[in-house]
Amino acid sequence: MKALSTNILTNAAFELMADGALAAGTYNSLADCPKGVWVTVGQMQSNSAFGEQDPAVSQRMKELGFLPGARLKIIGYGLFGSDPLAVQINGTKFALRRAEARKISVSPL
Amino acid sequence: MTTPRLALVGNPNCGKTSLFNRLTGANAKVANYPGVTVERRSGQIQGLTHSAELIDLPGTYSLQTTSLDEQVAKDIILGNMAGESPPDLLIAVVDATNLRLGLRLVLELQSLNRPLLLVLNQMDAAQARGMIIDIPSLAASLGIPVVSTVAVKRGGVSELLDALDKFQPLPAHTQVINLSQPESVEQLYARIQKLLDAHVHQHASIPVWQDRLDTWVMHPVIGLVILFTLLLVIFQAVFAWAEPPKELIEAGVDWLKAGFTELLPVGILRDFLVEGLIAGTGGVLVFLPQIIILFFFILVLEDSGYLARAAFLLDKPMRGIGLSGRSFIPLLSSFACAVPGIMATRTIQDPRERFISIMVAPLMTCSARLPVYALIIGAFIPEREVLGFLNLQGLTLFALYVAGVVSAALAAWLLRWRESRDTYPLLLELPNFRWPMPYHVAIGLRERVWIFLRRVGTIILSLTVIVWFLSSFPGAPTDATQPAIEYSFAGYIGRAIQPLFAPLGFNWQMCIALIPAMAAREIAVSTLATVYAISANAADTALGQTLSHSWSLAVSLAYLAWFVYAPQCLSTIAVVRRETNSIKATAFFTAYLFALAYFAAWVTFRIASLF
Repeated sequence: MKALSTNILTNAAFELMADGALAAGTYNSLADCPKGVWVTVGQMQSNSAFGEQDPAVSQRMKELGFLPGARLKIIGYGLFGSDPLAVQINGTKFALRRAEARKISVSPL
Repeated sequence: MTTPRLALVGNPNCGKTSLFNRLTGANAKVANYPGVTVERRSGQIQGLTHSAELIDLPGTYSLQTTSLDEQVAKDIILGNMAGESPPDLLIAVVDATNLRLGLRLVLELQSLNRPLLLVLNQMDAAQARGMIIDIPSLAASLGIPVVSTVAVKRGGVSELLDALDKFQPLPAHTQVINLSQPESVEQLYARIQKLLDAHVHQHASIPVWQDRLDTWVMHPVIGLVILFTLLLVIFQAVFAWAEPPKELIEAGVDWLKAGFTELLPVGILRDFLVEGLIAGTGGVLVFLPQIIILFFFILVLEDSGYLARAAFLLDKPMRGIGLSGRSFIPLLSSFACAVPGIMATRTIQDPRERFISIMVAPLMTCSARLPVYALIIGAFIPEREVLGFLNLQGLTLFALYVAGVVSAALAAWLLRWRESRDTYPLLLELPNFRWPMPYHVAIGLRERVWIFLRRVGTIILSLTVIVWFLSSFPGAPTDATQPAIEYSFAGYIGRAIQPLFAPLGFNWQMCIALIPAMAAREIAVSTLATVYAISANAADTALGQTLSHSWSLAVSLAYLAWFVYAPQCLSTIAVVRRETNSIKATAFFTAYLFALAYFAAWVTFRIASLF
């Protein structure tokens, strides 16, 4: 019983730490963002996972509004492994995968 | 003077197709394959003082295309489509609640230097969200006419019709398309921000109920439960709701048969009308209510914005078998018909994923198989309640659909080895939830009913006549000991191919039904109806009853298993040939599905025979 409550406490402490880390803005891309937190989009980064497609993917993402200064929030995850993720940006919702999320640098609002 | 050609251009989900339906009304040229617009659909605009042709283009976010359907839109806009000049007027449709995204395409279109008109659609929803758009000043800034529409309302397009009435096409020689890309995305969005700041007061926010609904339907667990519950309800409804109208049609067919039997003297004409024409086409016609119900649900789900959420939920599991959330909608529309489903794979960017989707799309049970399933299930599966609320027949139907889906998953998984994989993005818009628009659903249903009736009236009717002829001639010799049909051409052909299907337990009547089913699967039903009507020499027994006396349960289950996989109808094979542009792929497609059908029917027959 005691062990269990300690465990819960530890978890709570971890969550607090996670929140603190957020406030400090230590995550580098949308892929590291927690759900439900508004962030500001920064520059589009390249992701080698897309290979030759990468510039076209960047172009399309920019066209859809993933541009510096836009406000964005993760609103949900698909089945298994938090991939894909659903985001809200400029009053529109999009589903994208972690690979695309890694291209979007973000900073706290 | 030639009729001006106007084209609707816009993002996916901007309500373009609703607007198209509203403008062309009941007089639209009925496209062969409704559903996701991947090819151009056209119709005459109603309510104009002069005539004008309207083209509905596939939805596109940009002229820098990333998929084949966007390429189709671009080719038509630029006049690169073979045999077509560029449209005389581009009607850019923008969802007013999603102005920023829509305007980007509008500015890009404007740089082409083509006659352009901007339509702000779903203006009522924008106003309900507290958005105020100063349309005259926006039009002045853009330098193009801007009108607002509410495509969901009758009379909601009157402003657009007025604007179109004033439109005069330019003489052809003054039309020069500017192809240079003068501005970057950043510059375009900077201009859009200025436009929004100047002409839009109060920006729309997504209503709270939409976000709440999304937390439920996109929840990894609850969302999946909702999805499967929805699917189960649809299959239950297809059986339960269809029963009263189905009985009505059956009664009508019986009444016609009895009437002609009484009216006409015994002879060839009476046999032809009663056993051939009425038994054959009537046997297929009774499934109209079920097809209407199935399409009603598909149209409502499509219209509501729900399907993109389902695609989002299923992306990860589908990627495990070489598909993705992007293949979800093409595969779902294959439940209606594989042909539009295969065409809708053009929205898939990854060529390998598109290939796999094409190969497995026909394993999604199409509506043409529904009559075959319904006939055999009705004849062999008792109408019993299971767990108090489920109907055993509905469950069997559900199981057949599941068998198709599971086989598709297996086939896709096996096809994954083909070619090394590049990564393609998902980037799927999750559109606003909308109440399905009754007018739009009604037009969609009208199209489906019309297509079905046209099939009954043309291909099914003519093949029924041929089957009747083959089943009636030559007549039995005078010393015949068996029913006359055993001596007919159909009897000979059926018996000739029957040894091939003997391991599956099929009798020759079942074999002969497989051949015309290549043209349209429902014809298996009308062929069986004709063949059994002639051999029974009594047209008054329902086909289902006749079958339950002449087939064993094991054989009927094997027949069902066969129809899960084959025969692929000729139009499906033709569209696979066109979309893959490869004879090898088409041959592979046809062969593997026939092999699967044979194998599945054999296994089913063997296992079912044990009991």
